[in-house]
Amino acid sequence: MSFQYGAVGEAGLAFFGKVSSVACHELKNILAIINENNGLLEDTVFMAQKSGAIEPERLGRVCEGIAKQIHRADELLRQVSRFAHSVDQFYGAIDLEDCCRLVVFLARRLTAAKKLTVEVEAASGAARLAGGNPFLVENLVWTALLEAMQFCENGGTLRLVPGERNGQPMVAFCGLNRLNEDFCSVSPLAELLSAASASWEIHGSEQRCELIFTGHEG
Amino acid sequence: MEILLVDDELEFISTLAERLRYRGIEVIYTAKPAEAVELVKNHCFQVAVLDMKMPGISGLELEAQLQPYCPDMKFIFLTGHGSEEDYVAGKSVSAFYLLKPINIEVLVAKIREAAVSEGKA
Repeated sequence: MSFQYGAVGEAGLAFFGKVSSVACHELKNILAIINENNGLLEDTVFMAQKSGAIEPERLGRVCEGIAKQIHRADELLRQVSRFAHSVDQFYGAIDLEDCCRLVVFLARRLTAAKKLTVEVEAASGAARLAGGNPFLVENLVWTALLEAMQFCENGGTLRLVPGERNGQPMVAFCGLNRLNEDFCSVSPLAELLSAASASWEIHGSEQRCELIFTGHEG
Repeated sequence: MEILLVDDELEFISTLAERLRYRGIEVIYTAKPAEAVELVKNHCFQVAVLDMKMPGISGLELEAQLQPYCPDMKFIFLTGHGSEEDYVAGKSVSAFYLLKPINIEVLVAKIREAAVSEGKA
């Protein structure tokens, strides 16, 4: 087969696959917790049948545990659904703060692996693209986030600050305390930057990097 | 019988531990793999039940860190993934391997089986 997706297409498929597998893993964990709580209820009923006594405190704890996991699954599915629907529209307005919050949520298991706290600050200025491909921009922010993680100390805090630079929308990645010139030079980040009409500015002394959408007005 | 249970989902292991205790199995659990290493430095368990995928470390990597302190300790791996890759990895170390959500009676049987084989080692 001679067909090739190209770097941007491959990166998009990899992004979709990774988000899906991480979400599946988390849903399995949620089901496992609900399963154990259900098992605990069964154990409690079994013991109550033998002794005649039932502990309301234990039952309350189990119910609380199940409700917590239902809320967790609901939030996960809500965000994954938002992500899935980002391919519905090929071209449209993009709010960078919303985009960053979604990507950070989807990546939280990966950032947790590095014991990294990732915060998205409220946008200062017009952090909005008048027109762009939502999935492409999500993939760009995702790829930049995973790359930026490599330049943060384990246990550190990475801040994403959407805003504008000289009238152009941008996202600043702050807290890169191991930042060096290797940052953002690797594939597929370079191809995604080009496809999204964006570029990087590295501010090593400030331990931050700015993803600037140079081809867009704020 | 006393086992070590390690999984980054604290609510999962705390509930599972409670259910295992009902079945006569003492459980020490932790959601922090590094803490598991500290625990086995001071005390060997008959069996360790490890999550296959935890943030920053796999169950197999944790096994490699625990095993030198307790060479006779047996391992059971739990996973939510069920991927072929995990399955092959789990099988390759001759360990027991269970998919989440787990059946408690199957897990208890595997723990007892592993403990018996540990006793024979």
